[in-house]
Amino acid sequence: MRLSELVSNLTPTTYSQLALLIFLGVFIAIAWRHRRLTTAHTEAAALPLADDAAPLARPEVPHE
Amino acid sequence: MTQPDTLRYDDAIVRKFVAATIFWGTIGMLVGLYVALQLAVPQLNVAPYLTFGRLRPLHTNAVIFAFAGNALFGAVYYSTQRLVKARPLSDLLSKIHFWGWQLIIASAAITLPLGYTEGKEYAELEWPIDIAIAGVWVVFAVNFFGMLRNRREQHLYVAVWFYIATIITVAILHIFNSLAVPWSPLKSYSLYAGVEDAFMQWWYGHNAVAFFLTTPFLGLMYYFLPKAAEKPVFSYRLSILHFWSLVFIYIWAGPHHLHYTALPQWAATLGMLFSVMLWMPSWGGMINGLLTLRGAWNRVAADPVLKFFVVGITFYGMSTFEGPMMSIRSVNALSHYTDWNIAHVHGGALGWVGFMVFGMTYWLAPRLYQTKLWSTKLATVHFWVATIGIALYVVAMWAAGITQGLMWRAFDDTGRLQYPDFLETVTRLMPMYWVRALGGTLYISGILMAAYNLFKTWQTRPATYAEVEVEVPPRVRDGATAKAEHHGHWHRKYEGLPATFSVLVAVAVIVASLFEIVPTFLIKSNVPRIATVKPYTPLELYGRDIYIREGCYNCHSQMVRPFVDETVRYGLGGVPTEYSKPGEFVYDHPFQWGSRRIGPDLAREGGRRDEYWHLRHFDNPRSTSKGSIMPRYPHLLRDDIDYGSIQARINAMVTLGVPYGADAKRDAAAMARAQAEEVAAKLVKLGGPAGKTHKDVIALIAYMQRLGVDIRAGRNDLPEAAPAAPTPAGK
Ligand code: HEC
Repeated sequence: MRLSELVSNLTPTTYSQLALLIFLGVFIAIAWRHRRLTTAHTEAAALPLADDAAPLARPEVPHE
Repeated sequence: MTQPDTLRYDDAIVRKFVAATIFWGTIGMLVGLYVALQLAVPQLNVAPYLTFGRLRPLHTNAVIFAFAGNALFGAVYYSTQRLVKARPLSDLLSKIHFWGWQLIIASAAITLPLGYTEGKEYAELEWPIDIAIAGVWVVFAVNFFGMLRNRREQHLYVAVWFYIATIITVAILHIFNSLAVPWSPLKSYSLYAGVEDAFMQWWYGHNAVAFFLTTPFLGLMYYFLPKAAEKPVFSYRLSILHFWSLVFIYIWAGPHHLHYTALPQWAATLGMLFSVMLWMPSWGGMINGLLTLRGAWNRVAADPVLKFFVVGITFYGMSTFEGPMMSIRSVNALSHYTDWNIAHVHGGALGWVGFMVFGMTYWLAPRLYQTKLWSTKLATVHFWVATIGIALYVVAMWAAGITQGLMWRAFDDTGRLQYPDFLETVTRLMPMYWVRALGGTLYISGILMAAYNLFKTWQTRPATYAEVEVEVPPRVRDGATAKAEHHGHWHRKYEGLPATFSVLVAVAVIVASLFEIVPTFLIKSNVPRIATVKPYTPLELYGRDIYIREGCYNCHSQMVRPFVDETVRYGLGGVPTEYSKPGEFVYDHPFQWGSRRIGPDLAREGGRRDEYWHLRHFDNPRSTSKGSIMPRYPHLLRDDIDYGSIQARINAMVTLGVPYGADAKRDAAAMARAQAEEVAAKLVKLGGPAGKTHKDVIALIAYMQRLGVDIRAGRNDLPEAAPAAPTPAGK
């Protein structure tokens, strides 16, 4: 069977259903993995603020 | 453990990109204002290279790739160095990246007004420039991933994930959408035709919005907003979900640009579903951004940086609500081809991207120039002026879009179109076009204030910039330490591995793309052949190339949707026409369906007007259609047809599989000459001028007269031409 025949014989909705299932699986996996990671998350979230340690990282903030 | 190292950040490259952002932003927006005014005052189309059709792509490309592009590069270089504690791989690569990109922008600014375009929106640049873009992108990628390789920070912060997704996905999109067969040093035909070309184009187009205008700016948000608020992001977990959901869902949404077109309905439905799903992660991201300011709201009142960020993120929320809404088929039926789209994209580009860029710029200025921002007050004025400007702009375009959309579909009590004259639906928009121009002017005066403020800040910089040395931990080796430190927690481990992470992103993007691309290209019933549809004659093909060169697709669609008001409006002699079928476009490399009807649809133009009408109309549209805002094209009546180039065009089409006969393969120019003489003879018979036989306008007229003719061939239920009496122009 040629690929084009195979693809033509699947109804188009198959693709969307498959896609939704894959997405759902990935979403649940990620949500599950990250359900309890509070310290790691707090560390990670602090990263942008960490480079403020450098001497010049606190020049005048544009305040009034 | 080895001794800690020291590291100097490269801020020189960031200074360059920030300056380029403001410079090109000003130019791109000024061109935007000019094309906006051209719609209100068509006389502003003063020269061939300054007509709306050629300048509008310059405006969009400049704002997307020059303004947003330079801004995202600046943001990536500034934040990634600090987040991963490493310098970009090589200063030389950084310079090549910067100057290469500026060169690409400059060549776009030259070639687009000259009419060198591939005729696909936001992918207009011709093939040599496309190759240069791919090259510079690779330089950027090497420089960036080299920096990640040398990193001293184990964890990759979520902003970096967004950057990785940007780099990988934009490369994939750009390469596959730009595939083309060149037929001259500066011209090419798209590899794809018709439905497939349309699909690829909007797969690209929508994901350019996603991965060029959204993900990098979300990365920017996740870094610069916590910096400016001096608080960590509200929920890191939410940012992870935000990231993966966007990467997974966005890729699917492209076909929502093609509702009710000849694209198969299943594909459009898929696009619609995933677009609606996008709403959730997008709002998750918006809420995450706004809640980062918890406890810092009092500072928003005083700090223009935070003001810009708050409004920018709010616009992100608005645009990501509006977008899914517009992708719902019945809403799209009204909004498509109208100024509603223009409102939507400006909410995104000026409201979201622009405000984030300005917030970042004002935050960076004192740090990059190592001095105080020259005027916080001016920055605050900029904020208010820009906010009022964008509000006026968006409201005016909403009003214009909904007005025109409703007028197109209105029927009167007798069951006839209430506004059969298309022009009436255009002139009605004039007041809104003036409000739009006012809004745009305000927004531009804002960016001029930013330029001035930055210039004055730069003037007070120190004689030499201090290069800050920071102490950094020893280099992170991929894999090894990740495993040692975090006993096999898979996500921790994987996100510590940029290569694995990149592969995951690429897989997510490619799998989703293939799910749509494979069926689009392979399902046979998608494009039922129509026996009467034949390739364009050499002269018509040449005329079509003029159509592309002049950017007529910026104002005209070629797609009659299956709505009664459209089949009636674009019918001939009182008989409704067929709506557009996929099989009609099989030889259209590139497709020219368009996305905006500033003028009427042209898919059924053949036979609607006579040759002389077209000639007068191209010379001066206002001579046939009072109040028309179409540009004049007098140069088409002056310039000679370049017969010498026609064979190369036909040969390229033959390479693409267009079934030309032996005559066309041997001597296409002779066929073109013969047809030009026929058209010119008709023209003279109708009372038109002699001596135009070998002028560009003849080829363009031949193309106009071909549009929509094939589907009528052999059908006696559809008239071949409009009734003998010339259709009254305008009213
Ligand atoms: C600024 C937008 C704009 C551009 C660019 C533009 N047009 Fe138009 N066009 C219009 C408007 C508005 C009308 C309706 C009023 C009129 O007849 O002039 C129109 C009408 C037409 C018509 C008449 C359709 C009919 O039968 O009523 C044709 C044919 C046409 N344009 C072809 C072209 C071609 C070919 C180009 C490129 C060389 C082009 N247009 C560029 C706006 C534009």
